[in-house]
Amino acid sequence: MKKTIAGLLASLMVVAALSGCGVSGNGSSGGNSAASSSSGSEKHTLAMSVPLTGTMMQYGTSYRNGAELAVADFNAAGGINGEDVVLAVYDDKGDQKEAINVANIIIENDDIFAVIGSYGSSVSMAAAPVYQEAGMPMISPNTSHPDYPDIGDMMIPMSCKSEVVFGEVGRTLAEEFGPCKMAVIYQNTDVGITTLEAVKEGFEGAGGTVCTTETFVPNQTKDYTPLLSSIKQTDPDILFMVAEYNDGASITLQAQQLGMDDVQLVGVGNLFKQEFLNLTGDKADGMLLMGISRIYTDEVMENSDFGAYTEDIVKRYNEKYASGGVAFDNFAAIAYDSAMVAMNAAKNAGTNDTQALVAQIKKLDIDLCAGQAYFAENGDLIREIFTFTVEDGKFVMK
Amino acid sequence: MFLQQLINGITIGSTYALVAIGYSMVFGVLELINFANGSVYMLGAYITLMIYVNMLGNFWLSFALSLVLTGMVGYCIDRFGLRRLRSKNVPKVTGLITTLGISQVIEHGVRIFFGSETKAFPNMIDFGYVKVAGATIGSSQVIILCTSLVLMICVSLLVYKTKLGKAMLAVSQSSEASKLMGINVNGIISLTFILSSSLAAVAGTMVGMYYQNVDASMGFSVGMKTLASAVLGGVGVLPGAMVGGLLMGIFESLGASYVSSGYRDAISFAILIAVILVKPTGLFGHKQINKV
Repeated sequence: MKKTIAGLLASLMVVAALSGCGVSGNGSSGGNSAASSSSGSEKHTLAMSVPLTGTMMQYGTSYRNGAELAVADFNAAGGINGEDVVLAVYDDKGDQKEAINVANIIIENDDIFAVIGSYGSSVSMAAAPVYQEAGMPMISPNTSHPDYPDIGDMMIPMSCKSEVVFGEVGRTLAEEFGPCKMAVIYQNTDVGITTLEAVKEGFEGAGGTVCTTETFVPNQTKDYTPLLSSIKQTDPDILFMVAEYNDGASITLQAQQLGMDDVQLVGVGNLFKQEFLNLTGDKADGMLLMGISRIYTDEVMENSDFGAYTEDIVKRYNEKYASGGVAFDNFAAIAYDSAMVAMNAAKNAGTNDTQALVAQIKKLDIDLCAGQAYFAENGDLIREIFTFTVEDGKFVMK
Repeated sequence: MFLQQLINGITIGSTYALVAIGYSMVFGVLELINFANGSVYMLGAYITLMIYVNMLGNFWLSFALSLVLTGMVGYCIDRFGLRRLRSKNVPKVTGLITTLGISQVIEHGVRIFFGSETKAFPNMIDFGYVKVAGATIGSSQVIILCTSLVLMICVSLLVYKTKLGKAMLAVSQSSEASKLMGINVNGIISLTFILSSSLAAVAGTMVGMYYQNVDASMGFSVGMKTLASAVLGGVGVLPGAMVGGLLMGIFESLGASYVSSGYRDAISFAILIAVILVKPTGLFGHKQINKV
């Protein structure tokens, strides 16, 4: 009796383990199921590989919501020649190994014409070779690592290379503040290191000096006082932070605690989030935020000139999703644009010739809600750079 | 700057000490490393925040409630996760893996229920700063240090001066003999878990106040470091855990400022390895002699 029960439980466990081994995926929105396309006709499924669980889940949720809205809008406007597009969202947990598993699943699905993913250069670049070899266009909303486009012609970044953006940011800072001293505190990831090098080159090229740099492992520590004490000793005029919003908030608060009030704080796009302000309160006043990301808080939207297309999307997104906690932000904006660009290209160029599809995507000839962008001669994506500051605990556009 | 980093190190080290005491006590009575202690530390901070923000407006009441609730979670870990394993006489490693699983459940459960974004934590003990010999000492640091010291003294008094403490020491020497002496071994073990979880909750809340934010992954790295502190001081020895925690905090702070901030954790663990190579039972530990 005991042996039979044990045997049954064991086989149940094996079945559960095997089914759990697969990656969680769910198709959402639209009418047709992913497997119902007949051979020879257009493909209808847009895949997404984003972190829906794990430490990065809020970014993945923004991406998914932005893309969902885009797919709904596109289908409402007629879809691909009358057929609805289906969005298939896969959870890669913000983990490189999981992203590769997801990629293998996506390339096996014949109805998928493009994939949007992932969050974070390290994760995207881990999965990219799988998509490149399978000839699947990969649109990455925020991957700014300079080596990403070199992985292949299927790679379409929707974010500029760090050297393009932060070289410009470094130059602008040197022009605005004169030839002064800058300290850089950066996270020890692909994004952090490339941003540091780009800012350093731009800043020093325009006359400034980078007096010290300090690195940290993101999400591992909350205590930045050793680094900030070392930085304070070199007496910088500007402190440039390359960090996610939680580490950035800790750094900002601790810099104030150590009495570094006369140092100008400058942050990168990842700090352009309401959550950052929730953590810092009014201690971030006067901080500069420079990059290609825009902020879409109510205060900024009232005085902005982002255009009616963007404003309408922001309004509808907030109506639909803001009750879940996270309002429209730059991540949702770029995900919206990525999805729109992919679907419009599929409509105009068809999905059977991937080279033509990629070329059509790169034309970026539709309205974009995240700001102007185009692919230059050398293949780099160029976007406008925005400057924001914080006043009275709220974001303000400069 | 040395003084500043020393003070920072002692502050954070005292919170490590509180969690390390938990590891040491549980290892003492059960010979089991309770990996869930790190997650309970994080859970304590989260429960305080959630009760304070969503239900009551009174922080100290929320803190007290959180201690009770976290203690209950600790009790449940033992009662439902580990007691049946003990009665079946399974190898010790099974219990260890169970606690590892529980820590993952707690961490991801918190993430699903409360969201994965970092949350702001109110600092109720911020009464200003004092400049002493070039270093800035905050009121939060002083209060954290004092609270940890008081708690450590209380735990030591409990373990070495009361009958209950004697029972705990007896169980950690031999649970068989303790049963023969009429000690309720299961009760003592549950009490140990409740105590270690409550201490971890205190540490978690204090760290939340100090850094003014909490997030679901803070338990994991602290769990590793405090386990290392307990080993450094000698597992099973209470004063060892306290000293180990303080030392770990100091090494981490000084290592981060004088060697490299990227390698702060590596430095702490390297020192641990060096100590263990020289004295395998830890600083205060003694060799287990199995007399036949």
